[in-house]
Amino acid sequence: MTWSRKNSSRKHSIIGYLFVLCLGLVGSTATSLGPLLGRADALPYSYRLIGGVNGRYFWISPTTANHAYDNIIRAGVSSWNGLATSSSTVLFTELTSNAGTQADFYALDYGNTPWVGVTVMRDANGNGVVTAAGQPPYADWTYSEVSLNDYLLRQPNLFPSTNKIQNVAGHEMGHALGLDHTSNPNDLPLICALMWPNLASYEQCTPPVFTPQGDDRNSVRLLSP
Amino acid sequence: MKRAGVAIVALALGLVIGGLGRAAIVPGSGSQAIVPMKAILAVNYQSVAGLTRAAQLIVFARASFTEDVQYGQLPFAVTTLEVLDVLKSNRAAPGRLRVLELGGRLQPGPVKGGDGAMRESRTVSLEGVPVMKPGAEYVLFLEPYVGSVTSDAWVALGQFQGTFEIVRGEVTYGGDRRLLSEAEFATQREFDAHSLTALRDEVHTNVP
Repeated sequence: MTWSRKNSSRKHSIIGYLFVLCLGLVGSTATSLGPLLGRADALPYSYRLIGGVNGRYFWISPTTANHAYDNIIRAGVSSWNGLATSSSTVLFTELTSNAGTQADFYALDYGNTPWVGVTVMRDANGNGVVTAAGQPPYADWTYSEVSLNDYLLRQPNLFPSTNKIQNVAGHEMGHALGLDHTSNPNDLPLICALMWPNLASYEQCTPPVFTPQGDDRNSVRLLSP
Repeated sequence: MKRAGVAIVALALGLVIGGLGRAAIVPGSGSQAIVPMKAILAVNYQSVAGLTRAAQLIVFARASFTEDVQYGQLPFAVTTLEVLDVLKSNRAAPGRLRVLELGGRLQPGPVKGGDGAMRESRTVSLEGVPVMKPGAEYVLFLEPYVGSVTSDAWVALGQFQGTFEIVRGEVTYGGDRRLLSEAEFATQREFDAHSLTALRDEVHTNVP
């Protein structure tokens, strides 16, 4: 009888420990569960912009196809300014040359490509930051290059307003800061965020999104300084 | 007291195991070195039916060779394919076609603080999906390319969304499978590991 009670108590203990083990597993993967646990969904990459996101600089290429976008790009960049990270504040100001900048913007006519904005991270020597296939960068980066497709931005059926263009500029700036896409297919229309991988947050949310939203701000808070 | 200790160890073990699981999907040691390009798509396709309705040309084709083209800051790949079958066409179907994709060899950009000693081109992948490779077969949902990067070419709708690699008669996703759960890969999820016949049937059902 004593042996059996002891055995049963041991069984309960093992079940208890397994439960705690599971809690640990859930805790460690909580960030990947995103909105399910009320956390930011557009999670920061595992690596970061070297030097952080405060007191940094951006530049708009003078060879850009259409300077009508300059002010929209400025608005897209500054929409992130003032947001608090874990221990800092986002602040990017404009320079007139790209020496020493951390986000460079180009707008060229690339034709009717499927994408309207693309961001590439580079190291101090200008090399693309290498990753495993499809994964976010696994090295810190020195600066980002943002390319906007002027051809698509000029299509009135696709971009009837400057706010929608700002959605694209602000989205790419989010990558330059270190944010990945908000990409849970089940989120829409529940989560309206600038970091959606397409224009759905502008086209399907009310009001249309063109500045960082709650989910984007939560993600910024998780950025390293 | 002893039980509390074991519980703490179990909790720590769980955190470590979970952490290892997450870490394992980041570096990808030994895999092909790829530079990620994060893009925002102009039009998002969520189903093969939607792709079928929007495409002007749908073909099953074999890639012959690829040319690298640099335009502005970005690299492009122009792949020439032999058409094996036409699934939809609103004009005379070509026997051979060229398809433009973002990706390929990314040239180094400006040096900013480095010593400039190690500068090299690196392979670029849009959202983790490699550009088409010679010898491989694809079902492509296409529209004519209009622009300056190249001439006489087509583009796949949504690039990876409208590109289905076929291996031994089966739709085989060519990118990183761990990303398939994400929002932009709805069309890939829909027919992942389905037969070419099933994909053809879906197209034929939805051809207007």
